[in-house]
Amino acid sequence: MKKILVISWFYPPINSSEGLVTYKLLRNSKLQYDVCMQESNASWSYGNKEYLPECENVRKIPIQADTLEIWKNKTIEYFNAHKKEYDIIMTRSMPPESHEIGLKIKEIKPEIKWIASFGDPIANNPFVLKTIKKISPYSLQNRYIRPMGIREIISPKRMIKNEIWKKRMKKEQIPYKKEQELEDAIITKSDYIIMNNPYQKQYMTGKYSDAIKAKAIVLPHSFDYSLYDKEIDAENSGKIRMVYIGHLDDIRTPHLFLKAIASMKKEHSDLAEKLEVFFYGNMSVKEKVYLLDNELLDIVQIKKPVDYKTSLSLMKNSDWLIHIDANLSGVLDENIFFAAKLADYIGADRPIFGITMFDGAGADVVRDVNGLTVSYTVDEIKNYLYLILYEGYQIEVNEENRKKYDAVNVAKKFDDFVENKILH
Amino acid sequence: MKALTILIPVYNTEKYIKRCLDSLIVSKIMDDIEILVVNDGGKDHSVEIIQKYVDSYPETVRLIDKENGGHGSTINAGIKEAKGKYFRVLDSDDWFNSTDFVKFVNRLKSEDADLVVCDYRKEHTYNSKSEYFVYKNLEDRKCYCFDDIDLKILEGEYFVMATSTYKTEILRTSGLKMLEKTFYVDMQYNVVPMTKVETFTYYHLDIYRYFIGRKEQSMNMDNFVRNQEHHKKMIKWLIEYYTHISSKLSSNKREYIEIILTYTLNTHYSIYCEYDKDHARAYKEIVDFDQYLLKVNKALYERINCMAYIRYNRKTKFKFVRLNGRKWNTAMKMARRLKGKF
Repeated sequence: MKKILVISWFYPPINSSEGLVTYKLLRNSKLQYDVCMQESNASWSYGNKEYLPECENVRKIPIQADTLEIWKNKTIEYFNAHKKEYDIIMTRSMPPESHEIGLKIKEIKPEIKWIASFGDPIANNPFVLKTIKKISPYSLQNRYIRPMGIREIISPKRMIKNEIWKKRMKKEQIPYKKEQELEDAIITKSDYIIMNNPYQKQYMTGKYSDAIKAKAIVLPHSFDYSLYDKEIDAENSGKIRMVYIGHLDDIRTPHLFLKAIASMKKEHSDLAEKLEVFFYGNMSVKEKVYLLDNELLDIVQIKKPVDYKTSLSLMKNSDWLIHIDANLSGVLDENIFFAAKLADYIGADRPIFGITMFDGAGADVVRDVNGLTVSYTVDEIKNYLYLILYEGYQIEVNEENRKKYDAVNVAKKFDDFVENKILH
Repeated sequence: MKALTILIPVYNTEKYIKRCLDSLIVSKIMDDIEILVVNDGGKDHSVEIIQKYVDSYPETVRLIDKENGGHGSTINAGIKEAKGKYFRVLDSDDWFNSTDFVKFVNRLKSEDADLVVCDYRKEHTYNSKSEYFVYKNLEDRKCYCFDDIDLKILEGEYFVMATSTYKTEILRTSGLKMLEKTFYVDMQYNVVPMTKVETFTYYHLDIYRYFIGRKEQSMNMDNFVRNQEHHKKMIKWLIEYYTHISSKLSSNKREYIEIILTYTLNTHYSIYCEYDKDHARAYKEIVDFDQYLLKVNKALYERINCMAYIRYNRKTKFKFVRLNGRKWNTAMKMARRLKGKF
C-alpha cells in the first residue's frame, strides 16, 4: 500500500493540540504514514512529554532543527531524497511552514497529490483581527465616541498624528498581506483541503471559485476512546465538579464565568459546599486577581497544565466540562473555531457547559451532543449554575451524535476520501 | 387552576428554545404553571426539542403545532388554550431568570390584580452588557387602581410585553385579536387589554431576559424600513381601534394609550422622514399617512406636533423628505437634537 507523507511540526511526544489531532487521525486510519516532525527541541515547542502508544501504521521521521526555517529546508531535503516513495502528502498547520513545504514539494513533483489540512486560518485569523485597532485614536471619527472640542477638530497636530498612525498601520499590515498571499497559494495549489468545520470552510474558501470550494472537505476533530484511562476514579467530594482544560487568555476568557460564580456566592452562602471548579492550564493574571479579590478560591482552583492522558482522565472524572470560546462579535457573526479539546470532552462522555457564540462551530458541536450553550452574559451563566446546583438540572449526552466525533469514524471518512478521490 | 400560563411562540428557534424552556423548569413551581409552546409552522428541529419537554413534563408543558400565521396568531392560539389564571408571553429566544421566576409564581398564587408588572433586562451578548429596566417609582407589591394613579409615576414609560402579566380573563374580555402575519403586533398587546385593566400591581422582580445577540439588532431601523407596510398596517389598526373606543375610556386610560400611540407614531414618522432611503416612496407614504391621521383622529394628529421634526416637516409639507441632500441632513440633525427634548 502507498504511504502518505505527513508534514507536521508538531507530533507526539511533542505536546500540542495540532499534533494530537494528527495523531488521533493517523492512529485510527487504515493507511500507512511517514510523519516528518521536529526532533524535540526547546526553540518552539510546548514540551515533549506526550508518550502515547506508538502506531504500527505510522513511522516517525524526526528532523533535528533549531528553527522552523531549518526544519523546512531539511524536510524538503528529505523529500528530495525520497521523492519516488511518495505520491500523496498531507501538510498540517499550524505552523503554516508545513504548508510552505507543501508548496515547494508541489514544485518539485507536480504530479504529487497534496492534501493541505488547516487548523486555523493563516490569514485574517479572527483572533488576530479582534486585537487590531481599526480606528485611529486621532481620527475625527472619535468625535462620536468621546467629546471633541473644536480646537481638537481643527488641530494640525491631531491631523499629523493621524497621518503618522495610518502610515504605521500600513506597515503593520504588510505581514498580514504576506499571510494572505501564502493562504491563497496553498488553497489554489493544493489538490485537496481539510477543514474541521463548515463555518471555517465557508470563511476560508467562500471567496474562491466553485472548483476550489469543491476541493475542501470537512473532517471534524475527534476523540480516541482507547486513550481514556478507565482505571482512575475521582475522589468523591460530594460537590458538583466542573472542569476546564486548556489555554485561556484575554480573548478566550473565563471572566464572565467567574463573575457569575462571584455573583452567586453573594446570594448563596453554601455555594462552596456545592460546587468546585478546576481550571487546568494558563489563565491571565487579571483573572487570578479577580479570584483573590472576590474570595473565590474555596470554589475555583487553578491547576498547572497537565499532559494529554491525564487531561482525559480529569475529563472523565468531572461532572461538567466547561468549554469557553472567544467572543468574536464585531469581527464575526459566526464562530469559525472548533477547539480540538471539545472533541476530547465529547469522548469523556460528560455534559458540556459551553460558553460560546450562539452561532458557529463551537455552539453547533456542543448542541450536537446535547450540551449547554450559554451566551456571553453573566446572568445566563448564573442561571444555569443555579439550575445545576440547586434544582438538580441534568442532561444526557446524545450518544448517536457523539459517534460522529469518534476517531474511528472520522479516520474512516478520511480513508474513504483518500481511496475514492485520490487512489481511484 | 394553574396560577400562570406562559406562552412561548416558536418559529425556527432550535438554537434558543432549550435555554428558554430550561429557565422555566423548576421543580418547586411545576404544579403551578402551564407552559404553552406554539410552533408557528417552523420547519427546523424545534418541535423535536420541545417534544422531549412535553414527554418529561406532560402536566406542565403543552405543544400546539400550527400552520404559520405570525407572532400574533400564536398569541391568539395561546389565549384561547390557556388554563392559567394569569398569562404572559416569553419569546423563544429570550429566557427567564429562574430564581426570580420562582418568587414571581409564588406571589401570583395569592394575587388578584388585573395586571402584574415586573422589571426586565436586555442582555447584549455581543459585548456582554446588561441593560436593566425598572419602574423605579412603583412600589413593590403595591396594588394600584389604574384610574387613580398619576401617570407621571411611569415617567413616560408604558408596560410592554416583557414586563406584563395579564389575567387571562382580561385578555379574553378585552376582545384582543392580534393581527396575523404582521410584525410589531406587540403594540396591540400593550394597548388592547389595558382598556379592561382596573387594577395593577408591581413586583420588583427581575425576570425577563431579552436576548440581543448582534449589535445591529438593538437599533436596527433597517428592519422597520423593510417592514414598513407591516408597521403601517399595525398603527392604522391601533389608531382606528383607539378612535373607536376612546370615548368609553377613563381620562387616565386615554392619556396612557395616547402616550403609547405617540411613541409608535414617532417611530412611524421616523421610518419615512429619516431612515427610508427611497425618498420618493417615503414622501408619498408620509404625506398620505399624515392626511390619514388628520382625518381619523385630529387630536392625535395635533398631539404629535410636540415633536420638532414632525412639526418642521409639516410646515415644509414634507418636501425635504424628497431630498437626499446636505441641507436635508443638516435639518434632520437639528431636528433630532430638538426631538431629544420631547
